[in-house]
Amino acid sequence: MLNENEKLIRDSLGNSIDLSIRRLRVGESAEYELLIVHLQGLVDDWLVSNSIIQKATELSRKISSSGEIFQLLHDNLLAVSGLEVVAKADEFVARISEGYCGILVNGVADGLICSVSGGERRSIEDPISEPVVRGPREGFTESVQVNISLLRRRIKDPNLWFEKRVVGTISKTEVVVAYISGTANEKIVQEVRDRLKRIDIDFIQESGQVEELIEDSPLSIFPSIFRTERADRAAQALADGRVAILTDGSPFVLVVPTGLSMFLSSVEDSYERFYFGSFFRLLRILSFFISLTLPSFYVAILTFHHEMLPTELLFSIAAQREGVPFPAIVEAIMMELVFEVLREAGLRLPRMIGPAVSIVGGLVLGEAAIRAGLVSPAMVMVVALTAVASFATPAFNIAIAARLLRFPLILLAASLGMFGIMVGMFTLFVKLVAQRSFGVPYLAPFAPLVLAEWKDSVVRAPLWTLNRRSSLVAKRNNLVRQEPANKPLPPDSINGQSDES
Amino acid sequence: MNMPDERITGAQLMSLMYISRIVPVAIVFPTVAAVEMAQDLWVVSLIGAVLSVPILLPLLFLGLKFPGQTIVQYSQSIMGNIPGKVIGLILVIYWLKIAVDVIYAVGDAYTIAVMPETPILVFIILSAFMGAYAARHGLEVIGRISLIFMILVALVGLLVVILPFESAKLKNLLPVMENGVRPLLKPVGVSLAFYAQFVVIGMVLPYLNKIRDGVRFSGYALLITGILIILFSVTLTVVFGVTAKDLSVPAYSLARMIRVANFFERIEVIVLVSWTLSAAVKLALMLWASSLGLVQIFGIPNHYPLVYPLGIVTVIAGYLLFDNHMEFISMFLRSAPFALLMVVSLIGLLFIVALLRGKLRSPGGI
Repeated sequence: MLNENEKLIRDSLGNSIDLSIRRLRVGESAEYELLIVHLQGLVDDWLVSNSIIQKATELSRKISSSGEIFQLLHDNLLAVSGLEVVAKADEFVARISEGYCGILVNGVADGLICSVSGGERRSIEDPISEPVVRGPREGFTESVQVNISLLRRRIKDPNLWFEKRVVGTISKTEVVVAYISGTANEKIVQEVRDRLKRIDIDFIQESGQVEELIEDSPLSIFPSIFRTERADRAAQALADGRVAILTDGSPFVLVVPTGLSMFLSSVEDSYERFYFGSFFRLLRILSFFISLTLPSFYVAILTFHHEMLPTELLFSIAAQREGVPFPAIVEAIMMELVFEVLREAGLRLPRMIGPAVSIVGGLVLGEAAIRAGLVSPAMVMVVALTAVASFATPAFNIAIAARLLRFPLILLAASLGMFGIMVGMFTLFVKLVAQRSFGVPYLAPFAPLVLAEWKDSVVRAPLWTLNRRSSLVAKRNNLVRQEPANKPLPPDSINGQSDES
Repeated sequence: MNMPDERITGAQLMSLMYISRIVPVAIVFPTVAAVEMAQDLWVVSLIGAVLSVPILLPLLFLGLKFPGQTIVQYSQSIMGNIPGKVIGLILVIYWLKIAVDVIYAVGDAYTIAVMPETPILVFIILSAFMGAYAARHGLEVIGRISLIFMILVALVGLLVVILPFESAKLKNLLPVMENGVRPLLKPVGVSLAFYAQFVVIGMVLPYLNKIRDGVRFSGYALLITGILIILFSVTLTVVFGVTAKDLSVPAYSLARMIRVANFFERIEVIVLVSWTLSAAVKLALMLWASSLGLVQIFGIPNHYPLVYPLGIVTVIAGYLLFDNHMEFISMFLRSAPFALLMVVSLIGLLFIVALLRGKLRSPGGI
């Protein structure tokens, strides 16, 4: 019977070379047979040998039946934390391929499944996509267990709950929903569960793929799910009443619900003093608009609205453009495209060659293009400023949205001037106002206008004034973060006397 | 008829009213063309703002009396099925007519002031598209964008009103009402005809999240628009004097006069853009109201498929009805008294019949 089982397992896993099956004989006269099955590399070898095999070999006393072995193993011998009983063969095989260790006893229909997960993992490193000057340096890793522990270490509240779901018929990827019960809005949590349940796909290996399958507006160019690599950012989001979605194999954690203002803020805003935080937030909003519209405004003004420029500036630009053979739109599109190519080239190159591309591409090409009379210096400046402004956007995916939308806006500007830009911006604005992220309006504190929430979106008010969580996100009856009047006071009255006396 | 689950706030109602009223002032200001003497302009604006209150009050009263019903619906419950539907249809046509005026005004302003070589049809089509696109997303979206644009338009409006102080001459305001009260009648009628467009909030009121807010916030809307229009009239007169009357796009010309510190100047395009954005919102509101009205008259389940066809209708009408700016303005001025009369009599009729019937049904009610 054990032989049949072994054959079944070998057949189901195609007799793969990483399959390890250990046959043990136990009992007083070694009359009972055990089968210990696992996949190499997925389990902690030390645990398997010390907590399972060694313990099983201790079964050398008199044993009446194979059922007793099973019971003994299950009840006291196995020194592993997770242990369960499965009855079906296909489930047994499935758990083996998930990285569990399985035990079969001759003569017992059920199998034991022990959790001994281990194997090689990347260590916790700096989150390279979201660096900060001041703040924790812990980034998520590819292991969902490590990521859960990172969150748990930052939020020690027992109400931090994790729910597991397996997605992908082939990849069997573990997707974990994390939220703080009582702070997160139950409707949103339920919506997350429902949408994850609806996923029916064979293969998932990055949270970006999960994101694409559960988005609110799959066709919108603006992402409606926030993603972060920073443990502190995700923890802060959870504390705000948001829901995090962790995907095994991806260091990027999804956060819902979100909004445009979240994409334009950085964790550092809350770590540095509020003057800096506020200034940087305003600066980022400004640079987001610059990166979206500057080239199109430039094209519109050059093509239709010369009168908007002061006369001296107009003359100097006209003089620069004297030898340029192209109309402003060709110039703009050409330069923008060149810049996009440069950026893409620099991004995919090995780290040692990257800077060379930006020097050759940026400096040499730009200078040569001006010398050759292909573009005007003013246009190069506009394109460069746009690029720099788009780097000021902290979230990469929202910066890409602005980069892409620049081109239709340039076309509109070149054909209809300011009116064209306005048509484009109006349409975009309507689209964004209508967009939602798990039921929460995307442009939340602006449209619908919630002035009370501007103090932690447009600016960053002092921490002692941020007394309430966002009512759009968190559960309505649990919004208090702190009691008001928490403003720190100088300790004048500690001894009941003032400095003067 | 089941209501879609859309809600707007009182502030959004205010912004919708504000934008609907400011749009015909902010660039093409037909009241200017209606006054005999430019000095009377601010008096006209003042009287118009005050007299708009009695138009608005019965409308709000009806809205409170029939919560959850649009004006098209409660005109059917007040007047009975067929007469109510006729009233609804008149209103729908009226709203479409406003939409046509708005898109023509946009096209007109751009072809006069900025891009004279571009055919007006381009602007008409694109502004109709903007309006229909927003209307297609429902009242909630329209309300939200209008509140943001209201802030923008109010800021730009204040700039335009305050900044041309260099060219202002206060004695341009005199003499006021040189020829007595009679010449004021016509421009006040025109001004009131614009306030009569507030009848569209009869469609919006049932969507308010707190119906009681309606009264308060429409009061704010009247106050803010009234003050801004009066200020604007005063500025227009002190800057341009008697010639104000001959300007085809007064606010645009006013913005051209702005010149501060040799740097902050030539902002007229910004004025034009912010005005066009609010025109698109007004257009969206009118298209939304007329499509919803049509649905409620003919009992079609969903009004969204009607939005784009109605947009096309307004484009065609806007293109065919008017040939040039003068014709547009004069046609508008001639039709204004009829529009005013129609709205006032419709609201009055509904109000009185509701009063009578309401008393018949529930003694001591209302």
